Amino acid sequence: MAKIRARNVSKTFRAKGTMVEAVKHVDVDIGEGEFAVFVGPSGSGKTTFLRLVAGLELPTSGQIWIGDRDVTTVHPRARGIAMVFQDYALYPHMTVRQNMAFALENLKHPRHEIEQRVNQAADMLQIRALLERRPRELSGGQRQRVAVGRAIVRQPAAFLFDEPLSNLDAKLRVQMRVELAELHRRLAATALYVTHDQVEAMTLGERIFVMNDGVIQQVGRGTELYEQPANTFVASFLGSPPMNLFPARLEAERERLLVVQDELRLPLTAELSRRYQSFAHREVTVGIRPEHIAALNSLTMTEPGWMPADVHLLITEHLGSEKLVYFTLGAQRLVAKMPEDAPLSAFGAGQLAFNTNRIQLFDRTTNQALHAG
Amino acid sequence: MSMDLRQLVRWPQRMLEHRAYNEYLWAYIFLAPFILIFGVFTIYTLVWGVVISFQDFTAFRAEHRFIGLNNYAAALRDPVTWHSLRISALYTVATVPVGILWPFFLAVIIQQLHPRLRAFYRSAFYLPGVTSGVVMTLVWVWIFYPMAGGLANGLLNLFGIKPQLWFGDAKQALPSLIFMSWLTGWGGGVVLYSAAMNNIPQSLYEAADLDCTSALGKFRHITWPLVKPTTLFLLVTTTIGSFQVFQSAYIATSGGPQLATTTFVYHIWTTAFEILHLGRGAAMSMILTIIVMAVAIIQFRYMSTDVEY
Repeated sequence: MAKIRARNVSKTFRAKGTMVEAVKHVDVDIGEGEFAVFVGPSGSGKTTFLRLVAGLELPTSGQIWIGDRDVTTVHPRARGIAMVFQDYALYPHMTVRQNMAFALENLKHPRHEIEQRVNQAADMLQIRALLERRPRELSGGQRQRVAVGRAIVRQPAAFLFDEPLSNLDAKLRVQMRVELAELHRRLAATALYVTHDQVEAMTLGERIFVMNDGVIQQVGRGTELYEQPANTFVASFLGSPPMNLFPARLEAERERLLVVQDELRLPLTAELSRRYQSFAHREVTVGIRPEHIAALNSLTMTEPGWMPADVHLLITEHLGSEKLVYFTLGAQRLVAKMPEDAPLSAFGAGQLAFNTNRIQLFDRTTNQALHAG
Repeated sequence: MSMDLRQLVRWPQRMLEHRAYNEYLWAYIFLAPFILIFGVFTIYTLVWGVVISFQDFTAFRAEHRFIGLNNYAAALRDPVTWHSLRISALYTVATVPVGILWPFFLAVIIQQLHPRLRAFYRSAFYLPGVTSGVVMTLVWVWIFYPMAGGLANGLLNLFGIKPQLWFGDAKQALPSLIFMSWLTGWGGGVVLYSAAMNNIPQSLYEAADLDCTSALGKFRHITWPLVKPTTLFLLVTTTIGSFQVFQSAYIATSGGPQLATTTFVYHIWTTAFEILHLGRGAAMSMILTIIVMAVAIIQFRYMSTDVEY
């Protein structure tokens, strides 16, 4: 297995007469054996970056290393990597066995070694019985396993995954996610995985690279990104429903800071007030996750720092074990997530409790998270 | 009037007003011209051809008797029949591979070009196909003019080679016709192959790159197998077309010299329209139909595939 490094990598395309910078000065370090997930919306540049690492595109600037080799301009066949495509890219006229053996035959491996590797990978992925079938005779999940198997037999320096689960139905996606995680654990392989699904990112990634508009917004473990987002994009991209964000002003009242917006006056905890003291009287964007808003006096309110606020309840969506409560806070429309049995009136004027310990503050102009000076 | 009788009287009106009826009616109205032409000039003539192949149908007799398989037997006893079948077979074997490989090769080349340039070359290669075959053959007659004024002999003269008779020589006539076929009529194949190659997902080539496949390997293991349906189509149609070649033989050589370019269809034509034995001509047409069908079935048997991307 090998590390993957990228320094100041950019990629510009010409599209209808204009230049589009799909990847902008990206620096990446993926350790040996690490499962790195690149997540972002469509057009964020994550797939373009993956293709740059694969060699299917040439960077406009910057360098890429796989292991200790500079592979920036090296042909894909000489990079020692294997890739699982979004549409699997199985050769339709070949059997599963031929698909999996193809690369090894091109590399002139001995026949017995090819047979052994193919059978081993097939056993690992439980597709031994499918080896003589053609791709058109396989289901989506089976094709996906064959595509993974084709990558495994290569014993590559690194695996690249381009949204491999996006063509599967929701149930199969969950199953394959678990299998992929187990596979990675067994192989201890370096992997660069691209997805637009934040759930996949959070469950699979040892480290997550959040991308938007060609730029890496934040890198870190899933919990880190979730609890301490670097900016409003990361804050709203991760989490379902996304983090509530609304404009407000930080006012100082004696030794405490208040979040003030219309008639809302939410005092921050003493600790947060101390942390953000230097930002008093500033216009900020306030973020609070839906699960940190609760019905008054409900069981959710276990830690100190919960403050009540007057709201206007709109709609409740029942999801079985929990419910989403849409409400307005002044002019802002927000959402709360709470257990299904939380005591709450149906709609109209009411009160909800906000966990002020968990409030995030972002600069209104730059959208970056405020950090204590 | 009773209720039932009133309903009966109003039935045609209700039918005309029924929406589905109107839709089907207009469909048939628009299909009618084609069905009429197809029926008269294809189905009727085919059936009539089968019928007269069993009759002593000539232009010299008003009444025609059923004579069973006599026409077929006479055709098969005629040495010119076997000679012309051999000429057609030789022509087919010599022209079909080129008629497939050459358009494929050109399509591979233009596939590497910018899309706009690709579209230009597709049109450029296809355009000559709309020219009349008679005109094209007459141009080749001029090219292969046996005197020094012909283009081919003019080129040979540049290298000090004496003028050739081309269509006028029994040994050179058929190769000249074959050469003429190599350089004409493949524009449609280029368009078909180019379209087929366009439909091959780019991700397969990218996967092949990552699978350490060479350029030749991609050609052999990706492109060629995945355009197999187009290859099968061209194989069948060019084979049928080659067996049916008549126009070039008729215009350029009149089947000669010394029957050197008497293709099977040319022989059918002379039997039916020069000797005026239409019954025997029809029988030979049926023989040709059986041969072509058998060849097509064999081609389908060994080459058919259902590739699904």
